[in-house]
Amino acid sequence: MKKLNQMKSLKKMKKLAAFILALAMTVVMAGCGGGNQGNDDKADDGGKKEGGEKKELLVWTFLNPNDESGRGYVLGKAKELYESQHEGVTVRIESLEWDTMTAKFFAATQTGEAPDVIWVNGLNLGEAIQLGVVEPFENLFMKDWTDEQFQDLDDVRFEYGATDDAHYQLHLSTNVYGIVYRADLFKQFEIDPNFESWDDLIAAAQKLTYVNEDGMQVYGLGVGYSEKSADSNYLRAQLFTQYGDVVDENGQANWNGDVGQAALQMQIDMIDKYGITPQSAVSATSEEMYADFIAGKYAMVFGGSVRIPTIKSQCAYDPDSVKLMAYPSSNGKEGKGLAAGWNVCVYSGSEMKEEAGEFIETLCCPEIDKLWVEEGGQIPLLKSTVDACSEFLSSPDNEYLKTAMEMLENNAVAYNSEYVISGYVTDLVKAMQLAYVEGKSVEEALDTTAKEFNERNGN
Amino acid sequence: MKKSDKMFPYLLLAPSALVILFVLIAPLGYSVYCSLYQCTYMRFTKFVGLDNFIKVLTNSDYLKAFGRTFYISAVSLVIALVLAVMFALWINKYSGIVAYAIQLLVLIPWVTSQVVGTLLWKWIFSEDLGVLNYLVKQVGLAPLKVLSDPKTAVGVLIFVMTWRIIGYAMVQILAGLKSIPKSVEEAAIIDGAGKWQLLRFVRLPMIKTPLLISTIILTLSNINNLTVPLSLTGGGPGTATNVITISVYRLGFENYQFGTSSALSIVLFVVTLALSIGYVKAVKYEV
Repeated sequence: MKKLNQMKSLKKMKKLAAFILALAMTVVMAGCGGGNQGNDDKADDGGKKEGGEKKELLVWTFLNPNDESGRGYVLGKAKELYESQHEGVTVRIESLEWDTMTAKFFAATQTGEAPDVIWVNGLNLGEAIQLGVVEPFENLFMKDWTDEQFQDLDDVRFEYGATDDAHYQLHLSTNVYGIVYRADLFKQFEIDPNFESWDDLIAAAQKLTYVNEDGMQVYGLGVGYSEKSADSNYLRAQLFTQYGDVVDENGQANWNGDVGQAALQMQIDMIDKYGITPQSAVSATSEEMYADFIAGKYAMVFGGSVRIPTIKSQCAYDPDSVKLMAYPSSNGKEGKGLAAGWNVCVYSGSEMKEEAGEFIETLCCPEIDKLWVEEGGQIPLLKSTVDACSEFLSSPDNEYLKTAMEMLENNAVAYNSEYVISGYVTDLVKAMQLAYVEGKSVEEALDTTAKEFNERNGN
Repeated sequence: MKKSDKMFPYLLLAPSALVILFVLIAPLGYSVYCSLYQCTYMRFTKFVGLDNFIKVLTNSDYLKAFGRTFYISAVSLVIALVLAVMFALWINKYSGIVAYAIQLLVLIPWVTSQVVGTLLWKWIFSEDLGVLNYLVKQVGLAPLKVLSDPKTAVGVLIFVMTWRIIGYAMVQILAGLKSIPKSVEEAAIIDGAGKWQLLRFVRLPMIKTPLLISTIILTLSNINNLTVPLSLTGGGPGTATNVITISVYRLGFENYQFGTSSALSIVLFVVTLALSIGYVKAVKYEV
């Protein structure tokens, strides 16, 4: 009898323990499930909009405001400044993966979970405008702006995606594309970097293709053709130079014409005929190309201005020798490169559009713009900042910023925002893969990718 | 039995069932829903029925990607299982610290982050600055075109995928070998079984279950693996290593065509489910 009672008691204890365990698990899981995807800098605030009396402004970006230096640091400073000027509002910054952030934003607009302020990838601003998910600034803070304020900000970046009476984005992290090169090697081989044509550049690249004193094979011109992470290349440079765009007036891919065919053939010749680019470029990503440039494998690379601070900080050679130049002229046309970047926008469905607009206004105020230049290594947004940062910009370390500013004025093209162009960079490198690796003709390779682009984007 | 007693097991199961419902079943259902719509940027613009499925199943690029996926996964799996059995038989001879050390070493690739492990191999195979070609040059040979040649790139992808899974298979098989009663092996030896016969007629049949479990898990792991091919080759050069998961990823997260991407991922799910059922049917599952 006693044994039976003990067993009953044991059974009850087991039940109780199991119940408590199950309850604990449920609570823990419920707690985990409510978390956010990114790194919140203020995750304990409760609701998105209302936390007590304070409103909360949600910002999605790839920057991390807890960075001690660079762009994340400046964003943190902008947040501090904004909060000091808007007592009833706190800014919650969520740092997301840059490559899927825009897709998540588009998805979130459908579920009502979109942030108030979003960094939209430059390639996708056109879609964002067409989908109606970004609010014109003229409805917000810009309605009170003076002509002088507009003129101070106005350039090719500010006009990207704009119509006569609507600006949708503030352009940050501006990346002006051209050729990043090592001036020390140019000096060693007595080469003048002021190329008048691509022929001159290729001839120089041939001279710069050599085995250095450490036994390393150096190549004249680096590029990455992997579909995994593609970026700039000769084909794209030619499209921007000759057409100023990658689509025609009907939004159809423009690279399967004569210009594209000649450019793709030249990319192949750069490997096989001139030997200035290694065959390994077909499997290299743009990130690997930059890493190889840092390691000394290349004398020149197709690259963007925004990468130069990192290259300078990591390279084993003289960092002051890393410089930027515009693409050479081609067929009598001045070389044009892309001015890409991130577009900071206000979500049109936000309940805090005014506050979101004011946060963006803070991001481009003179005080913060100076920080974007001096701490973030960016090209100024405001013309007035050039004077404010004149000492900083005249330093030899920052010569590339001045070059990038000149290129932005004279050699830059912004994306077409009228048509959907997503995936075009991958299409361009896929054409190279089809022609060089799969053995298709240049015409067939370009036609295939142009057709895929047109079908996919439905322009 | 009291009603509360009847309910008790369900109560215990509830937390894990809820997790499975929200983490697995709900997303799968949503994916099926997406696949029936023209869904770009998560905007459901038009119900298209099975059009997305027809589109992906009639696209030769995707069919080739499926073929490539199965080839790479199968070769990797077979090599991994053969080597895992050999490793397990070898380690089974040892005991104590030596056995633990070897098991830990072989398990490292499985527990290491896939991205980290893959990038390490990528640096080793880097053609101009990698360790492999450095060593090749040191012995006076011409540098190898490892990742820029379509044939060798496939080989390298199979190698890295095999390297990743071999430890898991080995541990499973080793556990199976350890569970074989000594008396059974001794009886076979007394009956005159040689080493090969012992393996063929005693050990292999008795590790059938861990072999089957490893085969199912590693098949699913290989076929659904995006991290290794994307980090190592990005599907290139050309389309040499463009496995189906890369197509799913690009359709969804580069081209934002979630309808087509969902349809392709469901086709992949159905294929892997059919494979798993096939395995279980082919080898009678017993403990």
